[in-house]
Amino acid sequence: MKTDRHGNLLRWVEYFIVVAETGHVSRAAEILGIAQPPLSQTIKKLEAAVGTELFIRHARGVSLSPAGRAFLPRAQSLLDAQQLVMTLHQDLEQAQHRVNVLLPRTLPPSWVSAALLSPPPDFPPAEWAGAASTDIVRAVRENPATVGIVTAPIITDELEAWPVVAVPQSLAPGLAMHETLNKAGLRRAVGAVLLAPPRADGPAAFDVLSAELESAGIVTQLREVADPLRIAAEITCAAATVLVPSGTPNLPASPLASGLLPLRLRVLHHPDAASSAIHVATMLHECLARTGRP
Amino acid sequence: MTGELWNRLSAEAALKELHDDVATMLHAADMTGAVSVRVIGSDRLPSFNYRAGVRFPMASLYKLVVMAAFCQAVDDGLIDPAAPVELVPETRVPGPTGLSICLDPVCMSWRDLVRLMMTISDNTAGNAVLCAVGRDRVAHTLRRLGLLQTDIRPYLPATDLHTAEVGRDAENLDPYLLPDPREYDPLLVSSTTTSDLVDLLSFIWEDHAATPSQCSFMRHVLGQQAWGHRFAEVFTYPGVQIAAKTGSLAALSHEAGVISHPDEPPIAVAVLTQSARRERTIPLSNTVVGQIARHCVRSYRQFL
Repeated sequence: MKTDRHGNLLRWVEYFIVVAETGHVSRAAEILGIAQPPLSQTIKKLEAAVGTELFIRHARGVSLSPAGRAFLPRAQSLLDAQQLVMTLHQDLEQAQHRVNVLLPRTLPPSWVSAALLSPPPDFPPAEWAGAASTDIVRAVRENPATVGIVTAPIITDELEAWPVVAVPQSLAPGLAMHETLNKAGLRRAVGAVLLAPPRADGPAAFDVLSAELESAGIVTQLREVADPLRIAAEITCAAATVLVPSGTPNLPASPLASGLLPLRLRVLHHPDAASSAIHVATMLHECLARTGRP
Repeated sequence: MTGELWNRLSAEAALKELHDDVATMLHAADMTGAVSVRVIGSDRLPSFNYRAGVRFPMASLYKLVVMAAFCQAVDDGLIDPAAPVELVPETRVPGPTGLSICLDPVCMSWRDLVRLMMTISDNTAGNAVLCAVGRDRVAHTLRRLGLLQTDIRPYLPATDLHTAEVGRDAENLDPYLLPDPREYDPLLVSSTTTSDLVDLLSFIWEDHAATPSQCSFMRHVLGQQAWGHRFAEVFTYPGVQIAAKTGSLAALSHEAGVISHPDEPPIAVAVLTQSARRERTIPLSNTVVGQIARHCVRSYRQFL
């Protein structure tokens, strides 16, 4: 078959499908808004192009030949493909508006659900994932459709960084008395090992935690752990303690005194972020601000 | 990077590797920064530049430019370097060292004020020399030397970076919850690039920044810096000589200087950094500035 004979193939196929669905050339012509002779002519051209008759002609109409029945799904595929091609712009626009939301991987998922997503904010479609804060900064820098929450302090360079929010923290496992822990209380309660997010996740945040522990006179060994399962196992079986955002569900924990060792979080977005990403960043910051003091 | 590795690599590949190493060192400490390295008096090796055109607030590194302007003013007969000057307590500028912490009137020569300004980064001495030289002559020096990415702006009191704008209870506030202070905005305060800094150091070492006698004075004063951190912490081995000036302001930790070894051309190094942290003193930042300088100098020496 010569390609120059198929310049109108998509139109021929569309006509073929309408004729096949109606079983009448005249009714199909009416639906397509053309006269019957050119429609018949088109079907003949299509049959010549594929090299076989697609319809069996009857006195009262037409029906698909065996070849026509085989051709029908292929014709449909062709039109579907046409649809895909023609909606490319729309799909791209949708993809552009789709936002990736990255959160520090060490945040307890139950706290994220309870504190950030309850009630569910009015978000555009978003993909959620956990990552190290340093990787989140890189991801936001590389993709304007990515919005992140990171632990602070952290170098953000040219990115748009929202004000830092200090989320109050609690020490888990909690004491039986559920007392609020000031510096002196924390010195006694912290134990030999305090689990902390790996330094590589956010070097400055880790170093500031070390310095603030020292400043508060709290003597403990920081053990870097990212895996929530390992955290759960170590605080249960190995007498380790961990700081978690206050209000983490189903985790008995003693709240720390106001301003003591807060979890500092901030929202980041790309300077060239689309309005949808900025909208998500705004909502995230508002959710975050509700949990702590900005 | 080992010497053996350098032998296998072209200078270009080695510089690329150095670029990656510097980025890794800064990243590991949650710092942003810029670095330039140049072998003075040798066109054989290319300069190393990592974000060398990015402006940073220069903190006390402005005193390096003021010293050059002072020496040019001496050359032009505008200032007698040995003339005495009296500094009364009312002219004191806040600072942790030198005349800034003294209570009584002090009398000394202009050149010794320059020495205090450079060796212990005395803010009061720095301000007095800047006022004597004049901002116009400092700008003239920058233009004359082609240091177009450097601006010396009016002195900004920096008694407390994080409390100045939020009131008297701010001491108890979490510094990370406050907006970035204006001292970190290179458009508002004196600022420079590492590229301009190694240019200035090269001019001083090649007797182009002023007359040879004044350049010699500058090299001598730079060699008298009192500190034991940053460059001084790493270049401690026998034979090495440092002539440098630090710049420090909370998150900003800088140093620019020349590292010399016997029978080798001197190497100018400028490292400007800013940490994500906001403590008044950040020992890790000092360490990183020193380690970057050491790594760069060691790498370059493999090709000398």
